[in-house]
Amino acid sequence: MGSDIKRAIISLLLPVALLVVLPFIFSRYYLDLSIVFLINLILASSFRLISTTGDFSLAHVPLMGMGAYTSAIMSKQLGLPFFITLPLAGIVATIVGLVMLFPLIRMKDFAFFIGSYAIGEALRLSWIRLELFGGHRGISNIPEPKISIPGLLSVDFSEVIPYYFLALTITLLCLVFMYLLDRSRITQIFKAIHIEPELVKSVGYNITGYRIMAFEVGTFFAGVSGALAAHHMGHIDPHQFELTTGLYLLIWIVVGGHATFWGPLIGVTFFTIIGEWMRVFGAWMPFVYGLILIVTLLFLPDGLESLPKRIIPFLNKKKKVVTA
Amino acid sequence: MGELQLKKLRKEFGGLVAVNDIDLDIEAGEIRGLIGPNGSGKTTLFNLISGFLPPTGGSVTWRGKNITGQPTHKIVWQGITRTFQLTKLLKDMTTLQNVVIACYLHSEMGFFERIFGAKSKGEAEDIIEKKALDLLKLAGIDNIKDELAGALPHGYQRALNIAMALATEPKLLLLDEPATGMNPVETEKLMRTIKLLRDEKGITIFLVEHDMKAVMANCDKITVMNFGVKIAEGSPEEVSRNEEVIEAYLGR
Repeated sequence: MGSDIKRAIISLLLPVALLVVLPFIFSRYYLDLSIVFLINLILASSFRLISTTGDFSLAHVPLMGMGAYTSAIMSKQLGLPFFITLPLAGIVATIVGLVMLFPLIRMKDFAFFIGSYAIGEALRLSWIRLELFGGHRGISNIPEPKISIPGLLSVDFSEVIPYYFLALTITLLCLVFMYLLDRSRITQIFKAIHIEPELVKSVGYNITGYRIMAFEVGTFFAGVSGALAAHHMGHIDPHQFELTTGLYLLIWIVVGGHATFWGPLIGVTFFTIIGEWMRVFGAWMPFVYGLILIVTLLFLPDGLESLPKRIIPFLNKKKKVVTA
Repeated sequence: MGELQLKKLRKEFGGLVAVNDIDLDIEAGEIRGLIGPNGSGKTTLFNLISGFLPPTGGSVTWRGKNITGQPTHKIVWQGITRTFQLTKLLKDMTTLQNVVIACYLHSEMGFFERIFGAKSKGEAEDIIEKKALDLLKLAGIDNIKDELAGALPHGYQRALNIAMALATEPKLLLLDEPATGMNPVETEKLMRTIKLLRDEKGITIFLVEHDMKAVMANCDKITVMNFGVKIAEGSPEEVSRNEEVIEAYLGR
């Protein structure tokens, strides 16, 4: 078990080092893109966490929005510092998520999927209606985070490089927590509930309780990612959290894979790079996304994460043929 | 008064009465058989006792406490565990891992300890694994602990399901057709294990089974159901001589 962690740390050394060096090579444009990339890592990873119990939630993006709104409103109207509004964003999303679960937890599989869309959409529409959330126009001029300890230090995160490092630190913390959770027995039980719910129930697990746990932990991180996004963009409105965003999230996870912790991370990385390459396609981008999705479903149904498993035996076979 | 008492227990599905006002008393340490034609409500009765389905009426009393309609996990904690007619396993995990998952709940570890592994590498994990191994030994399948559960022969899978049920430390075990698909040798071995559980661990057994030879030879008492109604109850000899039972189930 310990060697597992060591191996993970070693294999992550390079990507993390790369992420640390990036701001000194990249232009402002790419740095902005990298911040969005980090936010998407948290979003996709937390979505996958919930999905381990078999619950694919289309309310995930609206709940991210809930975190974004929470942090925006609290910092703008109450003047609370970012380091308080960030965890609060997660907590408020968790509470709203718990309310959603009252009807949702009684649903499974497809009913859960489509039900989570309906409830998430209800949440999103409430922002348009309620004054507090600024209606269609949303909330602008969201203050940038600042840390200042008088006489000691003062960091202004309104500059893109400091904000990048702030986002990187928070992202790594979130991912490490989710990675440890993924390796724990709790996730084994989440997965077992997905495969054989009745068996798991029969040996004494409260499977509803475990599904709630997965949903709530994942929702907390969705809220955190929302707060990071809100303060990065400086403006949020209800349309950013529409179904389309949720569908892109699904595409990342299907293309990246979701059997292991790494799948969603691979998916987000892949689409961030592809998205940049294919900017020439302009309005045809959704079409390209769809094409990639279909090709993946046909030829790599377990996602990009299953590629090594597919390729290695293939190469071995080839070698054998050559030696024979 | 029995350890498990059912009073006028009833389950209706729409217009169909699957379990029709069943009264039943099982003594502590008894091996009770439940027989009857297919569709006579045996599995439904198990579902009602184990909390998989809420009854329409009547009551389930366990050791003097009314447990009617409680959720399954609470019933398991009070000492009643059931197995399934169809084998249910975590096929991509090893035999040992399957049992460990069932043991795990009954060890004391908090949420953060489980995530950050404060105890998990140390004693707690060792204790769980040792317990799981002991259970595999008891079920006679410790020689295949590292095989994938999905790849095991049928008889082993059935034994594994019983080992998982035992991990919950039950006082009453509800076995739904444990010998299905087994050859006579395997059935014989299974029945020996069941007797051992009663004799050495003091576990009360309530089992549904179609293998009449096994039921007659091993049960202290047998209950017979037909169309949701209890039509007979008594020692194996009494039941096998009962006209109504012969008519409905045993055949002439």
